[in-house]
Amino acid sequence: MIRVALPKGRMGDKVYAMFEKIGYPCREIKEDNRKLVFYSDDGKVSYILVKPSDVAIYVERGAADVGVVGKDVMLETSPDVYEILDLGIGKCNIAVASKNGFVEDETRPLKVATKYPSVAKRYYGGIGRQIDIIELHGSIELAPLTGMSDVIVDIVETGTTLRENDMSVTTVIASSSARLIANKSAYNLDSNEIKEIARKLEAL
Amino acid sequence: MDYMVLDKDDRLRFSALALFKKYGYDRYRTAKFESYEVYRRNKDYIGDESIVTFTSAEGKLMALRPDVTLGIVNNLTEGVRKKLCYDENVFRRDKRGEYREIRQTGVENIGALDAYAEYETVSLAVMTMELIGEEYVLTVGHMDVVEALLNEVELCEADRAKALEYIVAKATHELKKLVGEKGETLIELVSIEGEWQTALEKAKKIIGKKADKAMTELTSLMTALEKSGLASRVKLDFSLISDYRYYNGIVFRGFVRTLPYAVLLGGRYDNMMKRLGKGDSALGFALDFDALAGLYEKETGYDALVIYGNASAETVAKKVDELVKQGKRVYTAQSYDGKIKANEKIILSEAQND
Repeated sequence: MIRVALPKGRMGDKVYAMFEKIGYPCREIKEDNRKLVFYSDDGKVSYILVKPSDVAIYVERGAADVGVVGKDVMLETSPDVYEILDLGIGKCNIAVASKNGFVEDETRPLKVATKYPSVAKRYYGGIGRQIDIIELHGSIELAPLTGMSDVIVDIVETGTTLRENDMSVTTVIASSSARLIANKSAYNLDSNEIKEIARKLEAL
Repeated sequence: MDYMVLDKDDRLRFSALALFKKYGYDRYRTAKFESYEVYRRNKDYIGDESIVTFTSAEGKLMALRPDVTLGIVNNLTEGVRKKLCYDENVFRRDKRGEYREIRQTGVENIGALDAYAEYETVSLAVMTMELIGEEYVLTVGHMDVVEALLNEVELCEADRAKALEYIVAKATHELKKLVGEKGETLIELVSIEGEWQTALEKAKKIIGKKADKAMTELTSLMTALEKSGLASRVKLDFSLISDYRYYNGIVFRGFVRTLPYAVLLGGRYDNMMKRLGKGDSALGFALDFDALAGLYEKETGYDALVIYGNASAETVAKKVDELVKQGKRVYTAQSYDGKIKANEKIILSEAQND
């Protein structure tokens, strides 16, 4: 039996729909219940619904054999897993954004508010810019709007939130989308099954 | 010897050491405390984790050994031929700042490695995986083959580092974006994994004569393993590579079903030997007992429980020794609290004092 870790939320629903299409339907998951572990109708696949930023942890530690996680989370946490497929959904960019008209004061460290401290440190380290990291967990755009930070490093999809708050992207750091990841040990012991799932998902 | 009474992980360690000794590897005991110097110069060998340091009474910066191989190599005389085995704890601090003590049991085959020497070390790795007694797979790669094709792509250093990351993660979709058409052969190569004969055939077709020495080495190794009946759970995986600053050539990893991380890590490290000015070739592997921990739950329960109340010491001793001589594991307690599990319960009464 292959154990799949799905991210809770919109992405998880889309991903489950993909798994259903390739032949691993699970009636239970669509039912309104408090269950945490679900089994496909034929018992070949089990699903767990997990906080998106935790999917990679379950997969790395072998609590799930495969999982679906955004590349943004992977860039931030660098999990020790195989990244076997780009599912092409949940596309967005990790970018630097600031208030329109913001001019950087290059004589002092840049205050960066972000949910991705590692990504931010790596990016600014790479261009030799000293920064002051403010780690936040939601509504990151508020930081420069309230004057708490100079810029933000955050994911941007349509850019609507930024636009509506008189902010814009100044640099794109990386692109992100949903990735199928696999536990290294599970993959090496069951590569056929896991590769089969990847192949079918890719063909969609 | 009452070997079966020992905990499972101890049994594995001692079986592994016995195996190594039989093949001529001498037990090496490393120093626990060493000067920080050699580790400072080779910090990236330890990877993500950091070294546990302390200051000696003389004010010198010292390290609790973070790795056995680096310490062994550092203390070698240049150009010497040595076959060593070890069973030591190493100390590291992980990404979150937690201190860790990890047990490593392994071998080092140092100096003038020929086809037999390489085969011997890898065969010991297979035999060690067999000792674990669970379903496993040993994946084998060759870094020189990947390097030969990677060099053809001509990437700047930053992109080359990214390419290596993508190869290790089997992220061929990312690799494609990075190397484009020039890297088609490379991508084909690192996607080859599985049964060794098929994998080698596929690889030969795409590399042709480019990594001749490496392919010959790999063929010779796998053929010898096959002939010795040791290849049934060995898979080739051309995406398996390690840090080129220290490692080169043959690289291998052992995985056990239900354990998420590799339990055995090994490979050739000529580059480390050269870096430390000690000679030109070395190959080794180690069992990571941290990764194996999932297999060894505390074995609860005893064979016999002796409740002795007011019985005299000699009376209790007589009974306990009798049971131990029968090969049983015995627990003694004055009274029974219902918590201890045992296959048989023996209650000694006062009357038995006579």
